[in-house]
Amino acid sequence: MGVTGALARAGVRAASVLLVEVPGSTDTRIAVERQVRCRGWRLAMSSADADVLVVCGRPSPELAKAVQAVWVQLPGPRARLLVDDAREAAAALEQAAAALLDAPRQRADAGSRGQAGAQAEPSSAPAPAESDGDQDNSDDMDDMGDTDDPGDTDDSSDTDDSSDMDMDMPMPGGVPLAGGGQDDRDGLEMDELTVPLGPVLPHWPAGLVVRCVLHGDVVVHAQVSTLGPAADVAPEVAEIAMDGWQARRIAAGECDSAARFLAVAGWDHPSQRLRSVRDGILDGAPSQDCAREVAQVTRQVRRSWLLRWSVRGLGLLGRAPRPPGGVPDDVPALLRGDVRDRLLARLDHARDLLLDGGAGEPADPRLERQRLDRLPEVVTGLDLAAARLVVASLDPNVSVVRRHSVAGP
Amino acid sequence: MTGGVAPLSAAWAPVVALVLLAGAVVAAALDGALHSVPAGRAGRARPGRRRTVTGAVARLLRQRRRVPVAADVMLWRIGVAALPVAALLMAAVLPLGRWTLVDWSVGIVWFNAVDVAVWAAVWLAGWGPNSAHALIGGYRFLAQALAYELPLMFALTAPAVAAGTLRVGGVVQAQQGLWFVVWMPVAFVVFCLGVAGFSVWGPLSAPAGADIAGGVLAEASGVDRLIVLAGRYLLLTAGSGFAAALFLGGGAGPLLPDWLWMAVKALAVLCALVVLRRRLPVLRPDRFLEAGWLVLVPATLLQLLVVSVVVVAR
Amino acid sequence: MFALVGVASMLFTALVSVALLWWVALRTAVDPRPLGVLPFLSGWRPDEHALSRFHVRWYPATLVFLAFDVEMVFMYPWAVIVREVGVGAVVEMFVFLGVLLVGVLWAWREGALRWV
Repeated sequence: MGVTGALARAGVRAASVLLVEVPGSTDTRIAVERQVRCRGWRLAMSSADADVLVVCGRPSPELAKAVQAVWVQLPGPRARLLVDDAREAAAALEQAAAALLDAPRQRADAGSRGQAGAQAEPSSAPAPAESDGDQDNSDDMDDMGDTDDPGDTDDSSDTDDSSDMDMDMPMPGGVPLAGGGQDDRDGLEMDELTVPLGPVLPHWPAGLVVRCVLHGDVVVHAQVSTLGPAADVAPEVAEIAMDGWQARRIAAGECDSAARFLAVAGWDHPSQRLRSVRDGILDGAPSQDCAREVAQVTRQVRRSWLLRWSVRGLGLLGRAPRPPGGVPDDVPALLRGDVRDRLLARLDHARDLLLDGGAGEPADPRLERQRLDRLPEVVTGLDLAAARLVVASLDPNVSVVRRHSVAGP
Repeated sequence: MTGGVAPLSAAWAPVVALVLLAGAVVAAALDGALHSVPAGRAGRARPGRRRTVTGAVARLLRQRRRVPVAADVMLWRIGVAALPVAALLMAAVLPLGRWTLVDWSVGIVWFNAVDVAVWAAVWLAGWGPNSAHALIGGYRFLAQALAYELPLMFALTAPAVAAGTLRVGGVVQAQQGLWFVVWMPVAFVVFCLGVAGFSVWGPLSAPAGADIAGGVLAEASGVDRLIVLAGRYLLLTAGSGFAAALFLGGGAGPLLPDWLWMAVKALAVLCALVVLRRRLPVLRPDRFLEAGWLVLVPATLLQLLVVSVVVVAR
Repeated sequence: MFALVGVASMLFTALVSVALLWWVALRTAVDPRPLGVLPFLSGWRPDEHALSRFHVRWYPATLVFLAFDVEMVFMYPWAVIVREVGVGAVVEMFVFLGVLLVGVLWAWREGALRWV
């Protein structure tokens, strides 16, 4: 008991947290991120890597289903939280730590869950039962076979050349085999993989879903949809803490977005720096200091030839010479150029807001809409690494888009 | 001729393994410490609580393993286990100061053979779990390996040509006057890049990248994850040891005993690799493929040419 | 012969260590039985199994690699005798490498090193 207890205590000090941000709950997510760091915890990269699943904000039923599907994948010991208020973050994580330490509860939880090895029979596959048939919101384009249990497969008509094979073989876990893509680059008979990105993915814009069809690791088709908060959730209202608060919040948001881009690019140091600046801005540190720090990080990013070489020309929007029939040149200034230009534009924007103060324009719904609408076209034809960078550089604010598409004409 | 290093009896293998493990623990501890240091001069951010190696190990030992639906469990486990095994097999021919476990006449070739075996290990770790992210990570590693492996091989050949032997101890001996790093800097840098490559580390960590949910690590939990992570640190340590032996004169140095010099040099390379991980962005695998062939291969060949001309002229 | 004994002993040590770790984890994990799960796909059920005919778009590069890899078989013995044989060995090897490099340039021009 002594050894197990010591192991648990030591282990909980190094816990890792998978964050799910519901659109419109950025403040809460930032508060949880800060607490995670403060405790010496870490953000998880996937369900296998996570001990704690934290949902920031109250999700809509569809988003909740995705969260549930991830929750059943956590290896355990595990704890799950819904944090709805930034001020509750510290207490919530304390509660999670206590839950992870609760050995009898964790053992009982583990005992009640599906074992591997029973997977040959699809009925006992540890499928998140609730997630059946919930994909209508995003896959009207690609009927590669619905993903329900094989008991009710009636999709013999839609998987083209591999369907005859699928019919004869028992499909492990009730998941069909991958099928061939017709328009493969090299004319080879290769398989397509459907890989949805989002909503539960590290460093990913809240509520965004990009359903990718891959040949190898190259995106050949992408379809964008969004998931939102629960219907009765009012949009986050910022408390006015000081003069120029609105501008500071936007500047902090830009730093946060840039930090996430750099995290996707695998560049930890400036990413971490930007997170600290973001926290400083939200804590009311002097604007001059914050602006200076942002400028320093901008210099670091601008000077890095490695980054420039690595992402040059990626996700190019609206810059001459454009191919005939290419992107029409009505690209807003903030979206212009490649992913690096957009990153630098964000950083400059943050610095200007900090220096000038001013009112700070709230996020422009039309601009956010554009970020979303341009995604599929820009991402198609890129490999997954590049596609992730493009998404991170556009970083659409799903919350703003959804609010205005409901309210607007 | 044993080249100044004495082979140990085979019974010393566990001790060599522990020495390598100690290096890996130092690397992991440093990485954890760097994680909690507040970045930049913002200063407002309180330093987070330190992340300790004990904590990370305890967490993974307590965590449950998982097996995704229809995973190829056998191949997956082989891939996972092969990483630390490969690192230890490298260490077998590494001279630790005055001693080496195996003073093999083809030590450098052996190192090369084992580091190519890592290809299979990482790919299997990606293929096994039947998960798209892991699979993409596994293939990414192969694409990257195509770009770093040849330069790494040529970089390995340079010290061998200069010393006229493939015995690692012999290469150490040949540096008595002048460390090889002085006149083969390109080979040294490329070698370190190769070490980062087969350890899936730093700029070459795209196969385990944050953009694909941890790639080859995406589905591993519990002790499996522990073994993969330990394997990466052990490979990094073994690679640093070889960098010290092949380019930094091994145990040569004033005052201190040979083993201590060797440890100091290997740890210096190791710490540099750990620090650089945070300081450099990850290279995109498709761009790196081109750079590897068009820049690194010619550069290392040029280095090799210089070395062979010097050797012939002397 | 001695070399093989040493390497075998190291292999044995490594395998035993890994097995030991696995065994320890059976005792320390909250549940020794592995958990059966679906792969992580951002919260969606997979549409198909990931194990598939993955389109390795960089396969031309593997062929170029193979040419050089076979070349390494000559390279290692060559490394040992450069000093004895002298200028002749250097010239022969680098002419050979030069020819291979021309091949690389050709492959690059053909786009074999790009995959997107």
